Amino acid sequence: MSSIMGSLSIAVRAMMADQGALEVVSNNVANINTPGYARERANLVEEPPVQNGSPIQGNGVALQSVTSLRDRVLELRLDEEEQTKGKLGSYMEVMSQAEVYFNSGSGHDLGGVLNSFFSSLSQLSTDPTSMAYRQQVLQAAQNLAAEVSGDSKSLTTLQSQVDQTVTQQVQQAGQLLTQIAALNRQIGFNDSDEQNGALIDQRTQLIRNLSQLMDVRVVNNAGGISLTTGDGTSLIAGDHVASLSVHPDGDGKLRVFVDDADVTDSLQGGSLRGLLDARDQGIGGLIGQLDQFAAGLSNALNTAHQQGYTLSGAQGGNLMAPQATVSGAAARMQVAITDPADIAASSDGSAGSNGNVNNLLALQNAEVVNGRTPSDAVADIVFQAGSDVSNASAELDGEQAVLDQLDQQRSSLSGVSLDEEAANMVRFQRSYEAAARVISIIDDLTLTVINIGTGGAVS
Amino acid sequence: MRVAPDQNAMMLAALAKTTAAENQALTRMSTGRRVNAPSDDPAAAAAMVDNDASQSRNDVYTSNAETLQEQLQTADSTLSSVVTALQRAMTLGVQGANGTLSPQDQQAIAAEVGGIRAEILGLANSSFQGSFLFAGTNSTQPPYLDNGDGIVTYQGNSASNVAGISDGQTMAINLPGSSLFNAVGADVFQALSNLEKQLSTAGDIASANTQLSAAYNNVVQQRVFYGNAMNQLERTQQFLGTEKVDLSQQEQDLVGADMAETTSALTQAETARTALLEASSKVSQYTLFDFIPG
Repeated sequence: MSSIMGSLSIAVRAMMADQGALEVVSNNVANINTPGYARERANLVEEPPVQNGSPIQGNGVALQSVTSLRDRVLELRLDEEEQTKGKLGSYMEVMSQAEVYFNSGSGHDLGGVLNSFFSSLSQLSTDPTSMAYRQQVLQAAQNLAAEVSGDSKSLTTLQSQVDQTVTQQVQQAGQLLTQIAALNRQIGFNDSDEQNGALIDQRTQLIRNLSQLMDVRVVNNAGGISLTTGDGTSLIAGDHVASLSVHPDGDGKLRVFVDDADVTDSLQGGSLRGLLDARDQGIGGLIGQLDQFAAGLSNALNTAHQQGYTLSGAQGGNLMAPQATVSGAAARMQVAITDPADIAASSDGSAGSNGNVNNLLALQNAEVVNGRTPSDAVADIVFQAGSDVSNASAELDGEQAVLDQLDQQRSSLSGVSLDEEAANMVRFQRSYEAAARVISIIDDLTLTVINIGTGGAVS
Repeated sequence: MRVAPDQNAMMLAALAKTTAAENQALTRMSTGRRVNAPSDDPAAAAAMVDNDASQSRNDVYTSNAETLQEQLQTADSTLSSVVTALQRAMTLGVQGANGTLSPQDQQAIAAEVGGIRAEILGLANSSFQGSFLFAGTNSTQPPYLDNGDGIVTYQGNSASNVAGISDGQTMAINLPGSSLFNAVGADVFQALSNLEKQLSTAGDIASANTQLSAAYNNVVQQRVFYGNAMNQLERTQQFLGTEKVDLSQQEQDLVGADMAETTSALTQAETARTALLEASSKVSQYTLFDFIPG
């Protein structure tokens, strides 16, 4: 048997459910620009029916739960792509700074100073007794040495700047881990989906932020999630939060530690990987090539120079500071003589001979730098510096396209649409109004019942 | 499938792309270069290092050729004076051998020959920009020293310098005095001293004349070297001029911007950007909320 009061409570529940649904709409609209927010949906269900004899009648509506619309797999893919993008982005940024030192248009013209040096020798060959020409050779050699050692030192400075960024990012990653662990605990305590929706949004976003810094793998398990690096070093497991730190190695370069494990080489993604790659492979490689160049050229010039005779007829000495080891040769590159008369231009001991100038000039085409001519070695360095950037840039463009697409996918599932929210708002508003109307009708009905036989005393 | 509601992100990404394209085109327009950093085209930038080196060598070969040309010219005109002087000496020798001259005239001729010898000694000690032209490579001091009594000693050496005049091409740039003035059997100073002596002593003038003409012939023969060298340099200078044009054409091909292409790229980027901006100002101006009576 149905009752008027039964109808009243159905209408009241309907109003409550609609109110709840409107709250969800309001929350969605409020968070339209919140990063990481996944739109929520009010799940309305029928109340369990009451059976007062027959027929079985419905018992109204209830707001059962609020669901965040989120695709976990998509979120994980986004994390991964962010890691790749972070790696490429930071690598490219650092290598673009390194490239400047090999851009002839930016005043760092390694090829140009090398050419000037050989040109000055070529000029000296026409008049080996000219002090002006000798002075030019000396000056050009000093310029060459200054450019090479200057480039090498600038690159080393860039490496230590990278280390500062590494330190900052490791600190950031550490803070993110702490925040994620705190959220993890809260999510574990909370039962309500509604509260978890917001917390999981936040945690997802923090993991996204962490992914930009380093590679993270998310493992879902009963008590929440645990995080590891790509190679399985634990970052968050249960109550344990790993501490991230940096320590300098023998050369003063920073290494990254997760608790006691050195992950410098095993990190696979994130901007930390990009920074470390840029520091060790990218810039390190360029410095290595400069070292080869400086050592090869200095030693070859010295060997040739020692064969000749100075203006005063003395046996030639070292033209450049001798390089016993390749490592660090570029930074040490220096001219060994200060008196232009000490340039060993002569091959027969007489002042007017240019024979040894020709020997020195022949080094232009001699494979003195690791099997390459000096000019080819410079070309190799320029190519390397350029392709480091252009390859990373091309990969980054591709990565950005992938990310854009995934973001679109995420947005099509989780993004808040104002049109949709407006429609929902109208819908729930109308049904709220209808329910209120139902209550007012029931009120009338109740009045009718109350006034039976009273002649309308109660109104 | 639900449409992704956030059009801003898409729009921004697209705007960033067109802006990047526009910037690139602008940079290319303003520098005239397609490659403005090694990363724009690493292979071209590397090839440019080689091209730069070639251009730099071309420049120095060209300026060296001018210096060398002057040096060779100086040596050649010096030798031209020497030849003229020797011709005069030979004429005097023939006059002296005539046998009809008085002893005074003979003495006068002898004195003139002595003067010619001194003149040639001076010419043989000529220098160019501080370097003695006929001293071999010992060019910081005068090669010929007059020891009196008609004896001239050569202080230079018999070496000569070789200079690169273009890639892979070298040439000798001087002749040592030892092959010009004091060659074996053709010593100019000996011959002149001898003629002077024979004239003044009425000795064997005929054989002195023979000796002199041998020396003369040697100088004339050797002088050809300078003519050849100047010709060779001239040809090389022409080649260097052509090579310079080729190299800068090569540079243009490697890193230069195709202006027509760049202009059209700029226009395209601008059009795309303007269209996008217009679209984004029209799209998403309204949502359903705007139509719900408040």
